[in-house]
Amino acid sequence: MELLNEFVTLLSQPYLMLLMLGAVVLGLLIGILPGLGGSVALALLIPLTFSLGPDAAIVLLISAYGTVTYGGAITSILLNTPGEATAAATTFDGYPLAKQGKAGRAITVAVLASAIGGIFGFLVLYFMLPLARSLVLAFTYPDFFMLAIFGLTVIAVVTQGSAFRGIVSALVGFMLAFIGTDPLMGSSRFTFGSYHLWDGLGLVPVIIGLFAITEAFQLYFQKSSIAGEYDHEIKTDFLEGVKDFIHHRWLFVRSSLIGIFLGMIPGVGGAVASFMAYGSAVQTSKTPECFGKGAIEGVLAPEAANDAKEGGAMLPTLAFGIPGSAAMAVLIGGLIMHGLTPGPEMLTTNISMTYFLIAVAIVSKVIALPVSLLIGPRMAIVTKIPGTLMAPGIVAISFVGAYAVEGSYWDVVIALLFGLIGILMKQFGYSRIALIIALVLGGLVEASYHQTIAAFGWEAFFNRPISLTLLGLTVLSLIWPWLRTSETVKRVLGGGHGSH
Amino acid sequence: MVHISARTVFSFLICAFAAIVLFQTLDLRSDAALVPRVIGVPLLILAGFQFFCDLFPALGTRFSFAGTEKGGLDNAPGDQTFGLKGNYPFVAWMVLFVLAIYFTGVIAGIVISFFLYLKFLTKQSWMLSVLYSLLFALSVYLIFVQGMGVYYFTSPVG
Repeated sequence: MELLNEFVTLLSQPYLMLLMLGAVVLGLLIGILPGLGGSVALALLIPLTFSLGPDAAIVLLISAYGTVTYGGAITSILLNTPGEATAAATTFDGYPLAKQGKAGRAITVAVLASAIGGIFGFLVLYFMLPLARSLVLAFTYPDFFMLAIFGLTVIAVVTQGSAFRGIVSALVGFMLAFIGTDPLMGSSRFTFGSYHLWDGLGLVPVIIGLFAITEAFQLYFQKSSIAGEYDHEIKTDFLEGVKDFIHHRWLFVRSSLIGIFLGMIPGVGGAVASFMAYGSAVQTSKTPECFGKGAIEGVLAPEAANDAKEGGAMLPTLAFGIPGSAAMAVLIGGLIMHGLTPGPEMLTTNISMTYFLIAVAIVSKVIALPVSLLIGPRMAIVTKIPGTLMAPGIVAISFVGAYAVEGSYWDVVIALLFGLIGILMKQFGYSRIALIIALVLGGLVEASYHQTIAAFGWEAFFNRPISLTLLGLTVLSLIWPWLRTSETVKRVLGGGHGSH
Repeated sequence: MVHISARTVFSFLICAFAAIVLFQTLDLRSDAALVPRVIGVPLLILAGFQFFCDLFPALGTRFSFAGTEKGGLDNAPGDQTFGLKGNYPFVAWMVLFVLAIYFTGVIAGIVISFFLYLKFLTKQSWMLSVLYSLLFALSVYLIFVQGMGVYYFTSPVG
């Protein structure tokens, strides 16, 4: 009922609907541009929201973020080039279909699976909110502390690259979060005598640097345009796509559930969700030999999972304030800027805003469907622009965005500095995602630590069932990378010789 | 054998950061320093270990989880095809852009830095260099200054 009210609120405001349409087009464009994913889209759009109210900001951010995946699917199918890793699995069968002259059919199925998968994911989120609310109310300071540590450990360990350097990155992120004023007495800490650092490092300039500027550098680095030749006059056949979709409805449901479940696990992300859904589609198919040669199921499964995971990822973000991915960390930054602090408040005092967010996500998925089918394939022409021409544009938007948030020139310098740090982290295999999430969680970790000590004493970390369980899971996730390579564990898990 | 590369320098910088921040905690009240110390000490140890593994490749191979450029156990070696090397002009251009914003403001900074980038760094035609620079600056002006009422895009020293 509450959700219906929010639908009515949203649909009755033409200004918000127009904003949503613009955000959908922007999201589609960003998704089509190589290397620019959901986190970059959000980081670049946050500065545009500072003159908007919280509801309009949510419309802009959520609509654009939700449409990025559509753009990635279109370039995966037409050009064999995923905009980001989450769309990589779509290339396996999407591109062969395009080469067979069935690009229109593949795009229709991809966009349908994305739209309905996304809606399915957010509906599951809606129905899980009461459960999450009971759970979050059972949590207290030591549990939040342990949950933040657990979430971050999982992210550091499972994130792409070395687990060891993932942990180092997370610890660096924590230390950066402590810059500013200490939460107990409000005295300055690690500011190195600079008053610019009294409020700490701004989340938006750091994110813009680590993600947008690093990706701009990547575009400059690759110099040429990514696009090969492709047919610009793609005819999308909606009815045929619907027919395919209905025919593979159970695969869609299974893939969406995989996406929702994996979305809830911090750090796992859309790439793992889409690859697992693809793998599951191959394993359960009666014609597995067709995969990789142009099976429509190979497009439907990863796209459904990739969008359904958004609903799952929102649960820990909104309920506990624990972002599961870089994009969710950026979203938290955007929401905080508008006075909405993700965490228990989003399920209690600000619950109507949470319902509004879900309503926006669902309506934007519906609007993105025809927009993507009508103009998506034509927009893929932007991939013809050489990287050397796109790079300065992204750098300029990054600097302008960093400056616009608070009108501080210092933020431009921070964005540049973290851009260079991001390039080096990417080059040497450190995790930018772990760093940014630790930066977001640092305040929560420190505050909940002090609150625990003051309210319960240090033993509360070890005698509360929730804390203790989370501590056990944290230790397990820390030793897992080394455990899984142990011959003994391999034998136990594999049940055999286990060396392969 | 000692191996000094950009990677070694980067891991040294992380170590140095941890050491400096930990040193700073000596000046803080004990409760304000507590959590940063709890995080900073393991950071210093792990980053130091990473640094020594990078500095002495033999050590890195022995403890391959920390990683060497050769890669190893659970160790993606990073994106070896990507990096600053050979792309310093782009970095220099970004620094110039930031300086241009400081001395001339955002809009003029975009025009100047875009033109320099297009004409001299990527050797585009005069026409493209001028048009792209002006159109981009105009778009930013219309969206941010006119559309959103951002009034502070002037130079901080202007």
